[in-house]
Amino acid sequence: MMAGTIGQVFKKLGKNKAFIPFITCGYPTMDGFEKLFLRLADHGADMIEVGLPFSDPLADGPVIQKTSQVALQKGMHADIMFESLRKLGKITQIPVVVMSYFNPIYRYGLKRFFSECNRSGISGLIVPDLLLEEYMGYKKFFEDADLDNIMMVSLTTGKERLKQIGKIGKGFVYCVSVKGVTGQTAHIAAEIKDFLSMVKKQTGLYTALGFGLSTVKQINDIKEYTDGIIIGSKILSLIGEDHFDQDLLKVEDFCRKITGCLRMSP
Amino acid sequence: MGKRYKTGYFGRFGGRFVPEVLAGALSALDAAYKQAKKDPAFKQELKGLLKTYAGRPTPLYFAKRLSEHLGGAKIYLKREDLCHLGAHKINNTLGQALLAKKMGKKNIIAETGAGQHGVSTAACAALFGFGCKVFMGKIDVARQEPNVFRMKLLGSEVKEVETGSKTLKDACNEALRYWVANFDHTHYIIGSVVGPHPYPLMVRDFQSVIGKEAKKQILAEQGRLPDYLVACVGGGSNAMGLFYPFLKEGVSMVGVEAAGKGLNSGKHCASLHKGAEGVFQGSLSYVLQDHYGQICETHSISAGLDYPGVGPEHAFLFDAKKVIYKTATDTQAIEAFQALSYYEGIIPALESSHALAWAMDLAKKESKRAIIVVNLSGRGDKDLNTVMEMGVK
Repeated sequence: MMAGTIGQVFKKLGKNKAFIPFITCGYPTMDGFEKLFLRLADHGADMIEVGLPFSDPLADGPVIQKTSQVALQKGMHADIMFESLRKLGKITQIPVVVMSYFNPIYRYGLKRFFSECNRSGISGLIVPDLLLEEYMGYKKFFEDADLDNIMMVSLTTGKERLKQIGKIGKGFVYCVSVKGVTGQTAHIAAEIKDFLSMVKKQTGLYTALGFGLSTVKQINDIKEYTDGIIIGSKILSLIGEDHFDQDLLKVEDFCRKITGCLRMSP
Repeated sequence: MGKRYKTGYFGRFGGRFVPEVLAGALSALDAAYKQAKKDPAFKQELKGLLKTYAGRPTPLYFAKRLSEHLGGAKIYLKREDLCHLGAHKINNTLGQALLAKKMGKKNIIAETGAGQHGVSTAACAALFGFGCKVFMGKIDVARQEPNVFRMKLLGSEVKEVETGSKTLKDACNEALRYWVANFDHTHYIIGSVVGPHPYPLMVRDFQSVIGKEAKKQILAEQGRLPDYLVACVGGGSNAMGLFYPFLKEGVSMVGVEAAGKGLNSGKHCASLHKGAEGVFQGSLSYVLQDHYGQICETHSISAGLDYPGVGPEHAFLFDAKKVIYKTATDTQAIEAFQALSYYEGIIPALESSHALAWAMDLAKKESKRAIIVVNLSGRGDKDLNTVMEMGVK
């Protein structure tokens, strides 16, 4: 379960597309997070992206901001996340990638954070506010860690930059589908198809598309251009604390619809 | 931690920590700013606006009665409170608005806490004919009602921010999020020497007109440079503006952070004194944060200093000991606020009152030959309600 695991997932899927749900660690409660995690693993997720909450999440829209705030109010922090992921790793083998803004990692100490990731069976790391240029300053820490470094690219990332990102990224490239923050959007830009093809060509890595995706229609439209789909806000918006067990059923239902369309590739 | 070789850093502080989607917009801004800096026509136009619209140069005023009352050093005030709209903020907003025009942007956005930067940006939008949205925390909207009205009067939309702590840092987050989705036609005017590169450097350059003028003025008046420069530090734009042109002159420089209800009360915003290195809102600097890197909520009687971070160049100057950083509490700031009003007939902003409080203490200990220049970064009309609510008579 470490570096390289993610590539294996995509390889095994062949022509099928990966379903990668994003959930916030500690939301709606610690126990609720773990139940949701296991339910997703049982209902077609190919890997799970776990968000370590941050007080000031610049790349996130209202839904993920709110889940982060709730988790933080309940005392969520990196050590609790690591412990929880170790526990979950004993129950399920599903690969985990962690999304964290840079400050919680920096404050924890990069070396220590990465070594805890390894101890917790985490396969990859996504840092949404660590640009390529800044990554270069911390390259050694990333290279020494037994983790896939998942870089984000957006519609504004040019060819040359994609090439460079291809050299340092591992596992997959996280393609951001909108000029904007996470959340549900009605329209995915038409240029996304060309963009996904270009990312694949320039980086030579598997691609997964995220931000703004929530419907079967959207996914049917673009699935042939990508290797995987990341859905966060839509899933988290189905979940609350008050009717948690019923909400889990809603998530199951949603997962069935999504995997149904991702597995039907010709 | 990592090695630094690149531009955009002050020593090991600064950088550009933002989502990838903004990488292109920031590079374009950097390039446009570098070009403008060398362009005589841009410089001429800005100079003209600073003179005719902002009212520069601002006077350097000898606070004779206050100095005599303290019985020590001579206190000079750099009168940024006399700028159009009552604060130094206009120096930066004019510069960036002009840059936005050169870049062909149709809209500008800004964050604001007390509302001074928001009002200043709104005025520039009116001046240049831009569409303008100002992001302001819900709590600040409630406590700074007159400034909300001013912004609306100037034709801007005030976007009330209900996320996080509903104050300045959240307004800044929300402005950045809006910018991520709208940078094609919109320029984001950050109000202080914070944020991702090139903002800390660009805002400092636009504000350094303060120090350049002060230097000329004190030389003309006293025939020598001052012994001390004193300015308040929240994000730190008025301090950088005053200090920067003096950095190589061997003048003692003092930045004053807000100690709120006391440095050990947990209710302050003294990022350099009590913060730790971290990445917040686009750059690496000192940040008030908890053990796990979550950003802390802050307190100061002055809304303009109430911010958990500080500009990366201040972090650099602090570590390099090129500038000394001190603090003043809410109470000390109020005392200075009253003293300047009483002895000089000048009502200072509560932000500037922090600098004044420390300078007054220093003046008492210094000889009569010593010269202290204090940056009076804004006027205090906006703070009257706050001070009245404190029961000050």
